[in-house]
Amino acid sequence: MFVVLSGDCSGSLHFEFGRLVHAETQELAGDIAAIEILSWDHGEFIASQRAPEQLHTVSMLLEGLLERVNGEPPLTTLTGIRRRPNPLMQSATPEQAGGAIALAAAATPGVAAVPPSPRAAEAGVTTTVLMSARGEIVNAQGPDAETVAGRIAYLARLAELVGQAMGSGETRSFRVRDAREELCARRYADGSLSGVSNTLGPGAPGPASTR
Amino acid sequence: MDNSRALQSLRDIDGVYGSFVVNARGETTLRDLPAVFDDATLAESGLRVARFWEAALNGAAPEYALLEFSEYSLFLRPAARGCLCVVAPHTVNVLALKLACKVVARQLEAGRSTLSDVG
Repeated sequence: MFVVLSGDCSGSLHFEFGRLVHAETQELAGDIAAIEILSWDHGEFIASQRAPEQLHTVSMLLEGLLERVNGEPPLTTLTGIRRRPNPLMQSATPEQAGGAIALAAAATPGVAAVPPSPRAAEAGVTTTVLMSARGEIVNAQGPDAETVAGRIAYLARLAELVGQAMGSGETRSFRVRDAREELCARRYADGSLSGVSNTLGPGAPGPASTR
Repeated sequence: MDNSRALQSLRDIDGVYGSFVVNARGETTLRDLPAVFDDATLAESGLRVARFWEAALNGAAPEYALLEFSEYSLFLRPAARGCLCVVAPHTVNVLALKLACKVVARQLEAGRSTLSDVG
């Protein structure tokens, strides 16, 4: 779970398998609390070791919640979802942002930095990795982290070469999806890489329905 | 619809700069791009894209890939035994682009026999 601090406000977001299941502020709980927290323009996200509440008060998917934030259509990204500009995240390295990286990964499904779409997260196995610029695994969760890290590092390098060949600037992020897996990664200003592999569960739509 | 027109139809998606198709060897087999992307650039890019696409194979062919660079994004999708590459801004509506690419891929598949008409 993540504790969110913004000025005098505080709240918490609880995730299960990458899905937001419970949110609460000092006065609210459920969808409305999630919308409240996501609407805060700045703040600090702290990954908490506290056991998550066994509550399921959030019924909306993150896309829907983000759309509800300020009633604005969200900023367009990969999944058609847009992310509100977040000064905290835009300039932060993983070290600087700390737990915010994990929250961003979970709460902003539209960017390749973030992990997989909620559809993908429904019934799959998720592995997250954070690598230094030298390719050392700084942090990892989930099975086969070393394999996932290797794939991400290699694909990131190849993406970088594509960008160089096309004169398109530095690689920010990439996302690859096949019938079995969705792989997302983002490179930060200090060269570090964060990535997520989500092995799609049996309930996920197959290629026939997604192509 | 011929293959060039199929590629041109991707520009119906707001913001799309252009597109091209590379085969498994990285050779550009079709293009609809502004002149700033010259042949040399595309030749090098095609090789790099093919290598990325091959590395992305993980027991199954990728459905798509999206590479986000600082200048623009590159959307990749299998098509005509190769890879359809679409150059678009970060703000592109990816859901609409995905569907458009699906349609174009189908058209290219139908017209595969004429894929040698580069340029």
